[in-house]
Formats: sequence, structure tokens, C-alpha cells
Amino acid sequence: MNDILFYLVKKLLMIIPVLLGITIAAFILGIISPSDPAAVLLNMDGVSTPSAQEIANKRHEMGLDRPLIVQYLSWLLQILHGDLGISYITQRPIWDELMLRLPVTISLASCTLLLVIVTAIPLGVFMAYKNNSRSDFVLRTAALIFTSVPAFWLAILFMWIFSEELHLLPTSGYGTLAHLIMPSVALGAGTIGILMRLQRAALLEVLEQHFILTAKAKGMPFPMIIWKHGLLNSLIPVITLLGNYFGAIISGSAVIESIFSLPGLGSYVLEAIRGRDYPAIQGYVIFTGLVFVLFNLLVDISYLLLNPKIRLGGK
Amino acid sequence: MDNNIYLQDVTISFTTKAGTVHAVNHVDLNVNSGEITGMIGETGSGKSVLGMSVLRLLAANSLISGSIIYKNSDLLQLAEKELNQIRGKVISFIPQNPDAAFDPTMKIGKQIIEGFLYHDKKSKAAGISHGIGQLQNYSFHEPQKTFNSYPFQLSGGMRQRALCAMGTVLSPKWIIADEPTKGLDAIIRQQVSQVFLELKKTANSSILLITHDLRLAQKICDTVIVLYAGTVLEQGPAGKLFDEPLHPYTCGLIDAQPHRKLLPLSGMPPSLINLPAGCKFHLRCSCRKDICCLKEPALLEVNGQWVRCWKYA
Repeated sequence: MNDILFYLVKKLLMIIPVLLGITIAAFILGIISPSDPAAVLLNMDGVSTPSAQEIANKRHEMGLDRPLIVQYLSWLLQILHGDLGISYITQRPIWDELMLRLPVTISLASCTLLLVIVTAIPLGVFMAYKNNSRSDFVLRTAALIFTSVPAFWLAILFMWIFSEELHLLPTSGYGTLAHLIMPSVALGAGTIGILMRLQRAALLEVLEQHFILTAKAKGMPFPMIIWKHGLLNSLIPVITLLGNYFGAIISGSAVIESIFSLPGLGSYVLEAIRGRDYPAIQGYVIFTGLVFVLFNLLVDISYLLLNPKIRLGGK
Repeated sequence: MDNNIYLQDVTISFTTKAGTVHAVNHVDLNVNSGEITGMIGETGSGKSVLGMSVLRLLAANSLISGSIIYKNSDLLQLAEKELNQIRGKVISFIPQNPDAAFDPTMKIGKQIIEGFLYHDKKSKAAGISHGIGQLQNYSFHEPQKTFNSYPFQLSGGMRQRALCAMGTVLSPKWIIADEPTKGLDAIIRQQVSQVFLELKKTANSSILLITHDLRLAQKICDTVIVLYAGTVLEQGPAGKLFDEPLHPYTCGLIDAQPHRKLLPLSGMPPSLINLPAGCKFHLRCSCRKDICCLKEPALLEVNGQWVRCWKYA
């Protein structure tokens, strides 16, 4: 029990420097942005041209004339209070804007993740079981195609087939599960391809281990050996990489959301980028960074279930 | 019908990038049931490979020819499904390297009774009590605790004993044990050898013991086979073979032991990719004659022992 607690505390403490790094990256993004926030604010209506004096006053008012480190710390303090600043475009608190869109992105990402897990892992296991057979070869080629095809192209293809031709699924919008099917498949295809191959390779490596020989010597049929001894041992590296690929899902969702008009974080940040709304972009970076870090914490926790050595504090 | 295992002209090779490795070359053997048969030799002599080939446990890049006959059927020709009815239940295999032979994510007890539950279709409760009793036989002080431990929680010696417990859980007719006393201290080694003697006596199991522990072989084996570069050089009753070894290689092995002369055999075993012509041992042999380099001697019977050497031809 103590070992588990120690492990969790260790993992939680390791999150802190990562999150600080994300805020620094987001802050630097604001600094290097070519436009002056004071000038942008004063010129929101698009008609007035503020004088140099007005801009200087505004800069002082916003604290932009202070040293960078002071600006960073006060900004960090704001963030810790849940204040990500005000959007240039909508003039509303960015925190509220992001929270409004978060559920859409979360449901898209979890749908995609679920799809990836329930397809890629069984297919990878099947490929390893049928190693070097014709079906293995076909699936390996399929995986390569999934990985190589851009998500937006798949999205358009799906829309043409399932919406235009077959009238089965809605092309855009959000609300029901049917709205999430095409976006999830398009978004997950690349990760499915990678994970299939990864699961195959991981299982094949496990099947070379001595304990598989031990199991064979017991006279159990091969599928049973894979199920009882191969799968769990091969999942450890696969889950680790799943944590990394979650980043690809999150960043890919920006494109997919805008194609399928899903009102999520991704389409929001694309608008923000178009409008040079730096505080909103900063907020998005911090927000998705946090989601990514939390997901990887979840991965670390899943090790507790998969690996008794971590659970029971082995060396 | 007897329960002996007959190996007839068994040849095993492995295809590797460096070339074809000739691990076992034309081995003819009768391994008698009701006995403990020791198979001794240096590392790379092919003893483990030969042991594993009986249950067809070799890697996919292996090529086996010849036949291994048990109860009128050729184990090398059986369908996988039929072979699985023999593996673990009739002939069990105790693998070497206890550190890697257990699944690291499964509890020891579950792994021990896995084969028992699969073959005998007993209830889980019956399996657990059988497994714990089995651990008790291998002198575990807290069998219950060991049963519920993961492999990494046990010491090397405990894992080795647990491995033996796993191999004998179904009281098989035949046990092929690959280096079962490797890495054990004197007391535990004593216990394990005791267990093998008891298995032979009470369960009437026949045992093929693969080892390079000559003292163990001398103590518990009835028959001993000496293997060198995948070839049988000498075979005979243990007492006789250790008292009056015939082959120069056997003499060398015996003299190399610490409690004997501690006289190491000079030279190295030959490369299994390019096997020497003639007798496989001639490069290291002190009694080498001209013919030894040219022609391989046949296995000949000399005073109830079998030996492959031109000295006796």
C-alpha cells in the first residue's frame, strides 16, 4: 500500500516541472508575437488609430513595461487562480470560453481513443498470432495505409461516401453519437495504424521469452498462451506509447473539428490563430498541455494494474 | 509396450545468419523408463537442445530429422493437438534459467497449477490445495505465501524449486529437467536431488536429467550419457562410468572437478558451424591417433558401456 502511495506521489510531483515548462512555453509565445497587445486592444474597433502616447499609457496600464520575469510571475499567479485573461476577439474570459468547448473535444478524444484501443490492440494481437501469414501481410499493409493517409483527406472521403452518397451520417455539428463517428475514425486512423504494428511487434517480442516456452511445455494451446501470458506482458510498452500518441489525437482534433464543424477547443484555437488572439492561443496551449499531462498520469496509474513489480515495490 | 524413449538418428540444426549450427548430430539413444538418466557435457554440447526436442520446444529456426519414439508414436510427427496431450501431463519439461522461466506478471501459484487445471479439469479450489501441497514437497516453509507471490519476490533458489514444483505438478511419467540445480547452494541442491529420487521411487517417474553437475549425476543417476558437440561419446551405468571412464573426454571431465584433480580440459569445444572431420574430440584429445582426424568412430560396446573412440576399436 505504501509503495503505491509513494509511486503516485512521485508521479504527481514530476508533473509540476512539466506544467511549469508548458506555462513558460505559452508565455514566450505571447512575448514573441509580432503584434503589441496594447495596440491590438486599442484598435479593436478597427477604426481608431491610437497615438504612440496612448499605446505607451495602455502598456503601462497592462503592466507590459515591467521586466519579463515579473510579467511571467504575475501571469502565472493569475493562471493559478483560473484567470487566463480576456480574449481580444470576443472580449470574454478565455477560461469560460475554453470550458464551454472542452466537453466537445473531450468526447471526441475519448471516442477516438476508445476506437483506437478496441480496434488496434485486437488486430495487433491477431497479426502476431498469424505472424508472416497472408492475413498478417494484408493487415500490415492496411496499417501502413492508415498511418500514411492524412486525416483531413479521410474526413473528406468519409463525408462523400457516408453523407453525400449513402446519407447515413451527418456531415457536421455536434450533439449525438452519430455526429462523432466519422470525426473519430478520421482522427484515430493514423494512431490505429501505428498502434496495430506496435502491438504486433510487442507481442512477437514477448512470444520469444522463456516463460512462453514454459507455458508451451505445459501443453496449453497457443491461443491460450497468448491470452494468459502474452497479452498482459505486451501491453506495457503499448500503453506507454498510447500516452504519447494521445498528443497526436489532441493536436489532430484541431483540423478534424474544423472540418466537421465541431464546436470544440480545436476549432476555437484555429479561429484564435486566424485572429492573432494570443491570449486565447496561450490559454489553449496551457489547457491542452494540462489534459495531455493528466492523461499520461492515467497511463502511469495503469502501470499499477499491469505491472506487479511497480504495484508491490520491486527493484 | 515399454515406456522408454527411443531417439533414432536425431539430428538438429539451426539456421542462423552466421551459418547452419549443427547442434545435435545423428544421436541414437534408448532412454530407459524407471531410471534417472543423466545427460552430461559442456555448454554447447547439445544436451539442452536434445532435451527440448523431445517435446518439440525448439525455436522456429530449428530443423529436426530422425524420430523420437514414445509408446509407438513418433513425437516428432504428432499433430500439435496430440502433442499437447503429452506435454506437461505425460512428459514434462523443467526449463533452465528460473529467472526468465516464469511469467513476471502472474503469481507463482497460478503458474504452477495452470497445467494441472488445464489437463485434469479440476476445480480451482482443488488446484490451489494441490499446488500448495506441491510447494510443501519442495521444502517451502510458507507455501501459502509463496503460492501468492510474484516471481520477482522470490530468491533465485526459491524460483528454481518452484520451477521443479511446476514441472512435477501432474506427476508425469517422464520428467526432462534442464539444469535443475544450477545456481543452488549445497543444502538446497541436496533437497532438490532428494526430490528427484523420491519422484522416481514414489511416483514411479522416469527422469532425464540434463546437467553439468557431475557430482549430482554420480549421486542420483542410474545411467549417464556423455555428449560432446552434439554427439554421444559414452554411455553406461553411472557407477561404472564414473569409476572407470573409457573415453578420454569423460576422463577429462571427471578430472576437471574441484574435488578431483582440478585439471582443466585444454582447448575449447569445436565450432558447431564448422564441425571437425573425424572424431569431434580429436583436437583436444591427448590420445589422438592419425585415424581420429579422418574418420569418426562408431559407438561400440566395451564391458557393458558404450563408447565412441578409436582406442577401443
